[in-house]
Amino acid sequence: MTPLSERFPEIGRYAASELSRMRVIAAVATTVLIGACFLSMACSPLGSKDELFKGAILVQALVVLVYGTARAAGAVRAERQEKTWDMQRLTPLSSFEIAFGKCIGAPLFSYFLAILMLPWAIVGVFVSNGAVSFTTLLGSQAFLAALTFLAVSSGLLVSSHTIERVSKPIAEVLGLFLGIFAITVFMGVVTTHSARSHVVYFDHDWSEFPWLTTSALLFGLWAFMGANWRIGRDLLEGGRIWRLPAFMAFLLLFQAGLLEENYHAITLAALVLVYAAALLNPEGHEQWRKWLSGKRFLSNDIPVAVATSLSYVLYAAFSTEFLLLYWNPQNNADWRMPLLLSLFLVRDCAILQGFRFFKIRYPEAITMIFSGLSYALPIMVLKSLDADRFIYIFAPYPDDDVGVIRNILPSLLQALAMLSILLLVIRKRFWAAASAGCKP
Amino acid sequence: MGSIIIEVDALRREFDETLAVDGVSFSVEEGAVFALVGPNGAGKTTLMRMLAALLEPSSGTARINGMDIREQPRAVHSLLGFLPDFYGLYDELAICEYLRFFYHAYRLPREMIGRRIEEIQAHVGLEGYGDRQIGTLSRGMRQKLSLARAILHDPKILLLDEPAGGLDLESREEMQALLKGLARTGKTIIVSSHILSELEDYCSHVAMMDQGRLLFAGSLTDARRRLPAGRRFRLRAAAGVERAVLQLEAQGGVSHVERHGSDVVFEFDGDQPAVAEVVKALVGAGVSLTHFSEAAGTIQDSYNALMKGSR
Ligand SMILES: Nc1ncnc2c1ncn2[C@@H]1O[C@H](COP(=O)(O)OP(=O)(O)OP(=O)(O)O)[C@@H](O)[C@H]1O
Ligand SMILES: [Mg+2]
Repeated sequence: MTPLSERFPEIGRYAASELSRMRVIAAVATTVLIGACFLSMACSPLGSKDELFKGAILVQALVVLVYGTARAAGAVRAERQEKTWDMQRLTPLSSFEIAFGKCIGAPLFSYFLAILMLPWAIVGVFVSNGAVSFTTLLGSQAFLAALTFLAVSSGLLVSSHTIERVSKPIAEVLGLFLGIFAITVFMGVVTTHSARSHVVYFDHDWSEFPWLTTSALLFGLWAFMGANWRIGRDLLEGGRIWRLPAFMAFLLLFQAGLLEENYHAITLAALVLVYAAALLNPEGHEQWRKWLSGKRFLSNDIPVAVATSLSYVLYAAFSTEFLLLYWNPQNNADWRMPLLLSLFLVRDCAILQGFRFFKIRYPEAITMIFSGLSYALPIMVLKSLDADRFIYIFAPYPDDDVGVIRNILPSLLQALAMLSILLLVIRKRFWAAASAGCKP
Repeated sequence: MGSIIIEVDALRREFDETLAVDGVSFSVEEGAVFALVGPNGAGKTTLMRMLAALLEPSSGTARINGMDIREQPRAVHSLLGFLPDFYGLYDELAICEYLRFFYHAYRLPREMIGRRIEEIQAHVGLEGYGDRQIGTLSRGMRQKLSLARAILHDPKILLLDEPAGGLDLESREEMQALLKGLARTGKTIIVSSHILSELEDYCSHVAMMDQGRLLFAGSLTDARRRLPAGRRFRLRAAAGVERAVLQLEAQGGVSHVERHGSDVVFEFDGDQPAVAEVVKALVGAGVSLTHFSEAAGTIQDSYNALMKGSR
C-alpha cells in the first residue's frame, strides 16, 4: 500500500479515512455472516446448488457498483464544496494522479468488501456440484472488474463535471442511476449466462464474457479520460478537447457491429450522456469570455455544452450517413432518428445557455421543465385531437408518412431560431466586452 | 530586501457584472512582508487567488518569481504557500495523516517525512496533537494546521488571507508570533487583514484597497508620510474640556477637533512656537491641562484618511 499511496497520495488519504480499524472489523464480520447465510441456504435440501455463488457475486456487485459508484460520483464535487479542492490544485499532483487516485481511493471500502466476498464465491463453486464452473467464476469476476471500472469512472466523470453551484442531488441521483444501471446489466448477463452464451458482433460469434469485458473496459477508459480532462482543466493544465469527438467516433464504430435495437439504444444512451454533461456544467460568463477571446476554437476553455452538442451533431451526421448507406434493413424512416435527436439537442442546449445568460435562478431545472413541457404538451394535445400526424413537428419522431425534408425542417428551424437568439446575446455581451477588455 | 519577486500588472477580475479587482498594479520586493488591507468586499481575496494562480484574471497579469500566472500557472503553484480565508481541511483525517497526505502530494523526499512532520507540528504549536481528528479541532488549531500545510514544502512566497480571521485574542497573538517568525526567515509574505494595528509591527510594506481599486502601495514609512496634512495633538484636561474645544475651534490653523471624554484630539498646522502659543491660549482660557502631546500617526490614520478620500 505504501508505494502506491506515495505515488498516488489520494489513495493514502482515502485509506486513512475509509479503512479505520472499526470499519475493517465490521466489514469482516458482516461478510462472514452473509456468506454463512448463503452457505446454509445452498446446503439446505430446498435451496438450489448455486445459491452461494450467486449470492456472493450479487453482494460483490451491489457494494462495488452501487455504493462504489455513488462514492466516486461525489468525490470531486465534495472537494469543491468543502473547499479542499483549491489545496489539491496547488500541489504538483497531475490530473492523472488525482483522477486515478480517486478511482481507486473513493470506493476503497467497497472494493475491500468485494474482496472479502471472493472466498465465498470460490466456496460457492465447490458446493454447486458442477452447476457453476471456474470459467464462469473467472469470467464473472473479470466482467465485474471491468464494469466496476466503467461505473466508477463514469461516477468520477459526473463528479468532475459537477460545479458546486449545481445542486448536490443532481449528481447524486446520476451516480445512483449509473450504479443501478450497471448492476442491472451485470446481473442480467450473469444470471442468463451459460457456457454457450455468445454475442453477435460484426456478423461473428464472440463468447459473451470476453466481449462484454472488453467493451466495458473501453467505455470505462473513455469515461476515465473525460474525468481526467475535466480535472486537468481545473488544474489549468493546457490541452485540447479531443476526447469527446474521439469517443463519438469510437461509439460509431462500436455501434456499427451491433444489431438494430441495440444501435438505437446506444444513440439514446449517448444523448443522455450529452444532456447530463451540459446540465452539470453551469459555465458562467467568464468561461465564455475566456473561450471567445482565446485563439483556438477547440481549446480546453470551450464550454462543455458547446463541446458536447457539437460532438453529438457530428456523431449524428456520421451515424445517419452510415445508417442510410449501409444498413437500413427495414427500409423505414428510423435512420432519421440521430439527426432529429441532435437538432432537438441543439435547441435545448441553446435554451439552457440562454437561461444561464439571463441570470434566471436554477437555469438547469427550468430548462428541464421547459424542454419537457415543450415535448410533452404538444404530444398530449395532438393525441387528444387525434392529430398524431403532426407530432414530428414538436418531437424527435421519424415519421414514415412524411418526406425527409418535411420531417426534418421543423426541428431544424427550431434549432436555428434558438441558436440565432443565443448568438445575438453572445455578440452583444461578449464581442463588445471582449474587445473592450483587450485594450491595454 | 532586494530584487522584485512579485510584479502585478493591471490585474483585473470581473465576476459576471461585479468588478472585484480593477486594474491593480504594484510590486513586492524579495523578503518583504506586504500587508494587504481593505474593508469587506475590497477584492483582497480575489487578488490573492489570482496571485496564487487559482483564479484566472479577466485581463492583466502578474509575474511571480519571473513566471507569468497565466502562462505557467502550474509552476507558480509549486512556488507558493497559500493560506485561504477558509480552512479547507479534511475533517475525517487525523492531523498527522493530513500532513502526510500533503507531504506526499508535494513530492517531498520520502526519507525525511517523519522528521519534517514532527518539525512542522512543533513549529506551529501542534506538537503532541498528531492523532487528533481534524473535525474536533478548535478554530485556532485549525488555522495553525492550515498554516502548517502552507509552509510544509518551505515555499519562498507565502500568501496568507486573513490568518487572524475569527480567532480570539490569544490565538491571534500566537498567530502573529508565528508570522513574525516566518518573516524573519526571509520569506516574502503577502498578508491580508482588516485589522491594521496588528500588521503594523511586522510589516514592511502596505497596500490599501477599496472597491477593487488600489489606493496606495508602498513602504510603511511612505504610508506614514501620507498622513493627513496637519500634525495631530492630544490633550487631557481635569476641568474645562468644553472651553478647550471652543478655544481650539476659534484658533487659526486648528482643524478636526474631536472630543473623547476628557481627551481632545485635533490637528494643527504650525511650527513649535505656534504650538506653544496654543498651549498658552488654552491655559489662559481656564483649561486645567493635565497632559499635552503630539500623537504619532499610525497607518490606521493614513488608512482612514485614504478611505475617506476615496469614498
Ligand atoms: N466567486 C464569486 N462570484 C461572484 N462575485 C464574487 C466572487 N468572489 C468575490 N466576488 C465579489 O467580488 C468582490 C470582492 O470580493 P473579495 O472576496 O475579493 O473581497 P475581500 O476584500 O476579500 O473581502 P473580505 O474582507 O470580506 O474577505 C465582492 O463584491 C464579492 O461579492
Ligand atoms: Mg476575503
